[in-house]
Amino acid sequence: MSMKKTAVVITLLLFAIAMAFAAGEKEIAAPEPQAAKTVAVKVVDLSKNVPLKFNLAYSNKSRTMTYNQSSPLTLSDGSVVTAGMLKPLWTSLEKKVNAKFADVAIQDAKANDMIKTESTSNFAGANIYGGNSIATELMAYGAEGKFVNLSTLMEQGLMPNLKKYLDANPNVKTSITAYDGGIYQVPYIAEIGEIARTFCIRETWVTKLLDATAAAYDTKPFTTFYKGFLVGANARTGANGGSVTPRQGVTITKKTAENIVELQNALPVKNGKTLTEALVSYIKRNYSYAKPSQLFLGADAAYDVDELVALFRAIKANAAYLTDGKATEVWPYFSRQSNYREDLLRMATYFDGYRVHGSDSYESRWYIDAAGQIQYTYSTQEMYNLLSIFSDWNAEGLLYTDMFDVASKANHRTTLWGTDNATNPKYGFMTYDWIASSTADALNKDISVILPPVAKVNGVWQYYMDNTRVIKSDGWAISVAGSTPEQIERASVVFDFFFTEEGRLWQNYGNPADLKSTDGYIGPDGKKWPEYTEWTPAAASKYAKGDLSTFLRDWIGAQMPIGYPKEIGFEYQYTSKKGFEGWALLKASTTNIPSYAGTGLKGTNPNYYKLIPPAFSLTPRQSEILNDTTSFTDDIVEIMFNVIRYKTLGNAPSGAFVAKDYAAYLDYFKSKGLDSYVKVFQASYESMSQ
Amino acid sequence: MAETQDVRMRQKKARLIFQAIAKDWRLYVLLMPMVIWFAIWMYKPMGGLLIAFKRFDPSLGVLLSEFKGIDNFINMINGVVKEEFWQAFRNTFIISSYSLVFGFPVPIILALLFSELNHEGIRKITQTITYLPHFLSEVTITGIVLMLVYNGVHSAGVITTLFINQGWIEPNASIIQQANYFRPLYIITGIWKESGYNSIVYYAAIMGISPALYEALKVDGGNKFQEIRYVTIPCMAPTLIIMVIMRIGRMLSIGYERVLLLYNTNIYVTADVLSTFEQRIGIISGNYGIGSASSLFNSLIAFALVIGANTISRNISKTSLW
Repeated sequence: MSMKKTAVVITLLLFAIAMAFAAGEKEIAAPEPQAAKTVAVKVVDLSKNVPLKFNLAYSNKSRTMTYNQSSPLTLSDGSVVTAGMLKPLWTSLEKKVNAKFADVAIQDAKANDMIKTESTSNFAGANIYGGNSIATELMAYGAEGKFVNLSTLMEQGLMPNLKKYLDANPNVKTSITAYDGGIYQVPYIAEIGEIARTFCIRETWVTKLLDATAAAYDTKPFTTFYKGFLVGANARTGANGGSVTPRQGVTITKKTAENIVELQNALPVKNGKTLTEALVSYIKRNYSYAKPSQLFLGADAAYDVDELVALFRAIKANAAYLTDGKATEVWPYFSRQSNYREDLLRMATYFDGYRVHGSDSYESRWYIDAAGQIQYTYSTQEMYNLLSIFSDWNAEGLLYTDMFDVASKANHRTTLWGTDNATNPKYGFMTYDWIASSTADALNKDISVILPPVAKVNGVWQYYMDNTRVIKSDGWAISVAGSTPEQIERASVVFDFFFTEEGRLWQNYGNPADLKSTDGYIGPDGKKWPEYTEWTPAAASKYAKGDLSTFLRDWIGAQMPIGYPKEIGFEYQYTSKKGFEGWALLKASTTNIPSYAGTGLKGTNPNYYKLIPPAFSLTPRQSEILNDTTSFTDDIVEIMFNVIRYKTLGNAPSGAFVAKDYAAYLDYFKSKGLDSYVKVFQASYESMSQ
Repeated sequence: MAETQDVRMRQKKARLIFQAIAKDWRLYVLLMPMVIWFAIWMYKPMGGLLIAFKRFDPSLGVLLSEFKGIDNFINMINGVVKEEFWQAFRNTFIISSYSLVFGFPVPIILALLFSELNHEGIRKITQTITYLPHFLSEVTITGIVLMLVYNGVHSAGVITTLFINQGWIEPNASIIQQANYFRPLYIITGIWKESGYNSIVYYAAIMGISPALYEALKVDGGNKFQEIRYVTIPCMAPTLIIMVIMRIGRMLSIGYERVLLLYNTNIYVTADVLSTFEQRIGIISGNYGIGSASSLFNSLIAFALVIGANTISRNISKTSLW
């Protein structure tokens, strides 16, 4: 009897084990791709007027939905908007969706502060909440049931246009889906697929320096620190970048393995004259351009990062020559403002394609490795090496030192590009910034866009820019506690409207009545875009000093960082002739950019070209772990920039921590809880990407 | 029987209290706004200290948030922020002590000088000038300081220029980036801003001293310094002691505004104090538990300090707060 029992037990056990293995195998099988479900559209009855409260916070009272300008605005139809009223776009929308809008936002509140405050009332104070950089919070509170799950609404047939958009853009959908599978916020989707920042320079400085004959170069001594990157075994020749293709059908070949940085370093006398002559002679020996400046300018540019540094040096050492004696000091590289200084780190791309930012955000310090896992970028050996290189650049005076001072609120771009005709002008050469504002005629008519440096990116020599426009972490959501079912339904109509053709026009361009009905604006991409009538540019000139973007945002109520797909057509019309040429240059080139789908020249890492989601959806447990075991604040950036500022020169102020080597650098990150931090975000990304 | 007596006693006591209130009701009415103010702004917020023992979730509120015992305190003194916490704790003590040593005598000296100024017009003008910085906001004051010590590519502040010209700092160095300059900068700014205004209480104490005492000393042949030494200072002593006790009670409560406006990551080593630590970790990073734990820890030590100072003072000088 006991033998029988034992046999039965063993049989059952073996059966259970077999079942468990079978179940395990089934779990790891790849999921079948699901086709988008067709849902019957639910038409919302708009006959009854519904009150809707909005709390949209942008740290700037001019950017809210309320008109906060001191002077009244007279619209093209003669109606007048005065302070305290809703901006015209929102008044029109109010009528369109038959609702009564109330802006309950503290007008200059920071979005993050607003979320913290409103969370204490479970977001009962308004129906719609929105702001900058709050996607993580909206997803977290959404998963706790405080914001409406928009997926459920879409399944009920509401928001058909948003659903259509997300079905057509599954990568966007994945990026905004919380860990529990719900969608709680509609993000600001900024011109997906377009380049964001680019390299902009003073064009005539390059021609004056490299193409002039018998120029009176400066002879002030110059000290070098940077040793070069494409040197020794990494020399650019043959298969290692010897030939590159700036545009289809054109190949530029570098003829020798020479490195210009090494050549400049070996000069017995280093000054503006010798450094520039070395560069010009190097270009003539190595390339077949009609003019040496073509290495950097125009459609056939094919310079690498060391050649760029050589140009920087020549510029730095020729301050008097380039400014016709008006200045003794010029700055080859600067960022627009000190709080944009992390843009410098994006240069990492041109050092064998190291990726620093996985998205158009300084906070996105991740890339996706070959195994599909995200990796933190700021703490790596490659990053430390890069900071050390920048430290050499800084020691040579190639970086504008005021950009390191985060307490400075100055606009360095205006200082270094916009004071040429001032009594005491200041000069800078290059920045990495947005095309429209950088090439504005009002700033400086000499500014041009250039192609990025050529580099080995993901194992393939190419033209590559890692900074593209992305889904932002700005957006909006519908509150559960603050809304009746009727209000939720009406809010969903508002959300959906900006994904209709009409709503897209409203939010991108302002009042459709101010667009030409027949003509279209042909962009540098060859596409036709809606074109403004004379009223909008004239009004922008009258009210907002000609800044069309500011006029639309602060006077009309368009282009707000709410959930809608922004398009590039507006920006093309707002761009100067130089800017337009810059766009055309990039569009005609072979420059690759990352995307959510991750297409591009495949190399060593198949995920290299993939963008990171705009925000991570953290579970309560993950948030707890971050709170308890990590302390990642902006101080990290200061510590990184300390390496740039002080390592080579050895002039660190008392009390400042400067990592002498990578071990010390890594220890600093570990003391902040690096391992725990990385694990939490890796787990979050894994659950979001599944 | 005993119970009845007890009831009678209580009734009598209540009647006496009621009579006292009825007699001085005007004073109690005058007191009421302050009591209400204290209740709302000082006592009610004390409930927030519970956050130190909770995993605080703003949407759940203080009471409903998960109880964590002393986890926040352990994390604070031994977790990932331990170095920052102890550094802030040390800095708070050092800055407070320096402020006490260097800042406390200045208003007393000022009050003594004011009291010796015979020309009323000059005295009033001088007093007004010294009081003025107190009425400027910290933002304005630190803005002026930052302007004076600024060192950029295109311009430098007056103090920086002076230091560079004297060879005390390198031409490219920035005072605001140097940890060893922070404490003097903070304390001197504080002295400039507050000593004039703080001198009022001492000046009032001096004005309250009976002229007969000075006259008696004069008759005995005392000079000006002996007047200060034997009359003014002894008569001011109770005020001085009370002010010292109160100052010790505030030793760990360095206002965050000036530090926040003057400091940066590179000078945390000397500049980060408990209040800025709480602001950074508790509010900016959203770690409310550790922020509150630090605040409670801070308050307990301040409480112990004030009790200690009061006891010492009572035993030595017979003057105390209670």
